[in-house]
Amino acid sequence: VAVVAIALTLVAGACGSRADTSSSGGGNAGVEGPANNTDGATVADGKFGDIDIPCGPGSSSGNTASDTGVTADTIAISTLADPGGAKQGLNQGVFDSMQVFVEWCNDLGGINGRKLELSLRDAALFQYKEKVVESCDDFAMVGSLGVFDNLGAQDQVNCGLPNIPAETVNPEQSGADITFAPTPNPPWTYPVTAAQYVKSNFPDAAPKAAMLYTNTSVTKMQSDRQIEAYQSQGFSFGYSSAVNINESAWGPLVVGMKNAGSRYMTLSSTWEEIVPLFEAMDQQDFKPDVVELEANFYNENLPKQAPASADGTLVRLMTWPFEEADQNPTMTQYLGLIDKYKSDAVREYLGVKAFSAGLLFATAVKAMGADVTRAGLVEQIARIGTWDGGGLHAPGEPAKNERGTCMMLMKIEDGKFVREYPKPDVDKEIYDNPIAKGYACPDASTAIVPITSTDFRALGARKQ
Amino acid sequence: VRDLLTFTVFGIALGAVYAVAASGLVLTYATSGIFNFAHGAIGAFGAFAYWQLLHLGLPVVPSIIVVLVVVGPAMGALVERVFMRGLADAAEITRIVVSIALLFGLMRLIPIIWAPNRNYKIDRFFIGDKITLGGASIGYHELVTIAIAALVALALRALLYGTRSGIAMRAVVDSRTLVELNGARPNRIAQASWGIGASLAALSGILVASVTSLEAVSLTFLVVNAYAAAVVGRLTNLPRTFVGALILGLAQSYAQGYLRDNPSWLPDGWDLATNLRLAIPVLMLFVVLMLMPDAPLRPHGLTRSRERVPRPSWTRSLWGALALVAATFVLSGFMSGSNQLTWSKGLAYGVIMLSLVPLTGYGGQVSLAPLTFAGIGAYGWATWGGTGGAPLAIVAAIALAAVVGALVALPALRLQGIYLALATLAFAYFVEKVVFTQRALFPSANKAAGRPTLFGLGLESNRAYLVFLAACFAVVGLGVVWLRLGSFGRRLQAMKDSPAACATLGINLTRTKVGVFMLSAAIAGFGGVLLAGVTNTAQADEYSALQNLPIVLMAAAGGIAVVSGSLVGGLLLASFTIMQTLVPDLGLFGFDGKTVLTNVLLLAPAIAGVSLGRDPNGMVALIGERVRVANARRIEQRGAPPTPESLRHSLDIEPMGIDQPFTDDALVAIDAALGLDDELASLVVPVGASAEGADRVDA
Repeated sequence: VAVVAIALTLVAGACGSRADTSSSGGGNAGVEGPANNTDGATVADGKFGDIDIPCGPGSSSGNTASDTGVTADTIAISTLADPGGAKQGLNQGVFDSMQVFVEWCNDLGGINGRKLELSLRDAALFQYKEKVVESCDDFAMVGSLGVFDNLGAQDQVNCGLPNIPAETVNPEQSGADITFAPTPNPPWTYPVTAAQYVKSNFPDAAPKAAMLYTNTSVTKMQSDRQIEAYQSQGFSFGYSSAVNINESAWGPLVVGMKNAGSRYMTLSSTWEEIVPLFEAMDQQDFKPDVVELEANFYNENLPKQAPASADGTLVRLMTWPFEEADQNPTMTQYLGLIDKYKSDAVREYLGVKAFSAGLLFATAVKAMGADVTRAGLVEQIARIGTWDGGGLHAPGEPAKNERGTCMMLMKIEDGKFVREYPKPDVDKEIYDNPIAKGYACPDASTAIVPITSTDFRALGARKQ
Repeated sequence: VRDLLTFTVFGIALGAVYAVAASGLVLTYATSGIFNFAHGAIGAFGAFAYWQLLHLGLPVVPSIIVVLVVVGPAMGALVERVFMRGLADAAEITRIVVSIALLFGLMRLIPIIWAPNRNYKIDRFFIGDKITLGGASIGYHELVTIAIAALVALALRALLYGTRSGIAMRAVVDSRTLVELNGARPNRIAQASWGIGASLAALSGILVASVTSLEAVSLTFLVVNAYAAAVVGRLTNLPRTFVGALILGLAQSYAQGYLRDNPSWLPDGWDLATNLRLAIPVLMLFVVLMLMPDAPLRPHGLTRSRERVPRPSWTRSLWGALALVAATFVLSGFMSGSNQLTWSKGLAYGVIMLSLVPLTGYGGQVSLAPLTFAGIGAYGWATWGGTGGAPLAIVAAIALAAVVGALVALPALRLQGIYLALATLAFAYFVEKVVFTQRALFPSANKAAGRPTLFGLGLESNRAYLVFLAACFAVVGLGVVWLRLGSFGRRLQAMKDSPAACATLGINLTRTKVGVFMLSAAIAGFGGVLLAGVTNTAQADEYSALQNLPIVLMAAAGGIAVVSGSLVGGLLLASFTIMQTLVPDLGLFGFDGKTVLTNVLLLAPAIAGVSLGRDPNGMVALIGERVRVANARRIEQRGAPPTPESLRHSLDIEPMGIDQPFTDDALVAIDAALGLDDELASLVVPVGASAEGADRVDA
């Protein structure tokens, strides 16, 4: 029962990869590339956002048991997450989303006459390896998120099990073979679009930055990476400090930041931790120019719990915001399915990514036709190239395992999240970019910096 | 100066919260002799109950009153009745694990009642309002907190000195036996103090949750910070406890504010300032424990201990070891790869639990840090063994754990009972917060580790490794049996029964204690090596201080004084995950049957705790007793030589002649227990026996 559970799903800021658009619409099965789909247009029949729904009626005649976990009329897949660990309910949204995806897909008739058989496997933090080994008898892992996914990455690769996770967390899994996240998040690079935005809008803040992180290995690693990347953008972290999990003495730390003259602040932790920090800042009248946070702070309870002084806090995001679902028919469709199949589902951005992983998987399987094999799956995903979940999130290129450049910044305001950047009016040119409308998609050469202090690339699990 | 003032006020407010929490701990310990590890969990429950009342629309003050007057006392009384009653004379380890069981039960119960992922939040009092004092900002919340602690102090004073039940409580602290002889009912008094203790726990839970977040696990364990304050009051003295809490709060606040920079001589990858700052409460706990005056050596064994340490037999142990390896070899052939891994973890846990058999089971010294030593072993193994697993590295890893064990044992030598347990827990926290977080030791969250090789044979196959682990458990287990049967084992037993008598006989208690601590750490370190091999990773997070508690709990549930108890405990701990997947999906009266059954399973640790309170010898002993009874009955049914009725109840001999008169049957039972056979027994004339018997002797 680890309290360190709180090690959480820290996912570094940005999003899908790609600066070139050459592969969009390039004859891939069912993928039309990230078209403009954010103007409230309705979705055509048989479409999920701008992609063809891979599930539908089909006949199993001609199908055979072509690979592990595949029969003439079923495909066994598994999803791993940690809701049964010390922090009960952690990433429950991943399970909920995958359950909805599979029920929806099977209701439509499955994929080429095969129904999906989903096993939700609770790794409860430290049983990730056992659950991966259990999944080796399935065809693939789809939509998973393991806080300690390093424990099973090698087993997954060894048994040839393709993994299409919602997100990868640790370097062992992020760099592993046959692993294809819809929005790759390799630890050897870091996105700095948010840093540049902060620097140009709060010019005095960057040289006076403060970094706080909970004292766990995962958050420590994340904060190291961020400091290294942001320093390359001209940030100077004059104040940097570890804090306890569920810190009860924020006051002196706030006074410390105040005395150091900090004008930018960030925290690497679970989202809950920042609420009492905001309250302590409030009390000491410490109001930095800007507070900027990673995507895991995008939780609908945060704006409800944070005091009014938290207004203006920025959160990086690479999935389409729930608050703007009405401007994105794909997100509307997704939320509609959640309502229909599991109305008590936990709504979180990792669930969106899990759903996207499910779609990516199904699209690749559909392209294989009757002969469904693991090798074929890997091949088809490589062919799909650019992927945005039909418009659910910023585009990425799963097969290349490269970080994308598109992202947006949300802001806390009046008890909810609102868009900060890019705005459709003020930043019209950026908002209407050809790669992913609604996101900021600068060139990779400026938006992404390498992390060199640790050789994360070498840690990825390789076939032995 | 302004900062100093601010930090001081923060420190006092923090100390106020600790004071409320620690005074509850002290009150229950003083009157019932049980250090309540579940104090924080009760606090978390109280905080959730408070949230629920607020959520139902009740204002703040009535909600607090309902929690303090209704919820708290009801919980405390219930806990006392179900878990704690009758533990006053039990061995220290039993008292500890029962409250640990309660802790896990509550921690599982809270998310069942209050589903996770909802918007739980308790606001501060007078949110946002503050005063400015000499340039420092002080929230009304801090002032209210300090006022609450002062009120608690006054109320406790009035209760203990001004009311009949309060005076009775103080009397129980002084001498439970005298109170009983005077006709008071200590159970009633204990129940009352548990009620008040639970209310104080709930109050501290509310205070903590309002400045952190309402989350069951972290609230439960924040109370560990208050242990230091309670120990300053030697667990019995409330005014001292308040002083201790104040010192602790101030120390933490000043450290947080002033202890900033690492000394320049510290090499890269090492961090002292931050890590020490975060470990202030456990450091203070350790230091205060070290400063405790020597306790006099306990002259005699516990008055009527229910704990038994059966004497293992060589032949049975050898057969058992062989059977374990053979059974593992056969059964593993039918297991899925995932289950092979799960049972491997179980056996590795089993080896770690074996470290408690000589230390706690035989020697009576309680350690709450077996997994921490395992972590040290795992670290050594991953560092020196590499991914290839150089065999010599096992020796080095074990030696590292043993040396650290000795280093811990030396200062902890003078401590007994609960104080020793707390010192080991403080050590576990220290390692988690200050040692395992060093980047120089664990560069990322984890370290890759290989599996040991056996005479050049690789153990990469999960089945081979499982069988290897069974063999390891068997060998270590036999070693522990050998120890028990040898002179060191007898010394340990003697030390447990009567330290004073040992000292009188010239047994070197110091050497015995350090020796058994080192041995225990070495066994745990070896278990850590094996555990790291299962996942091929030494994962620092897996060896956090709190992970020790389930290990100790399950070791006791299996039976802490027998080797097979560790096996049962380890396998049970690992198998919870398998059992959860096996829960059938039944509809139960319209409920979601699977959820209901899973929840019952999750509460299993609590149930184990209740049964340990009733019979502290663990499952193995329980099953053994059942088997003996069943055998006796079967033999009787077969018409084989009749077994005297009383043999089946041989345990009843103990109170004979004390609270029961001797009867003929009783004497036969004693004969049987002494091993006199029927024929021989029939020749003996019991005093006052019938003439018929006398005739037979004549004949």
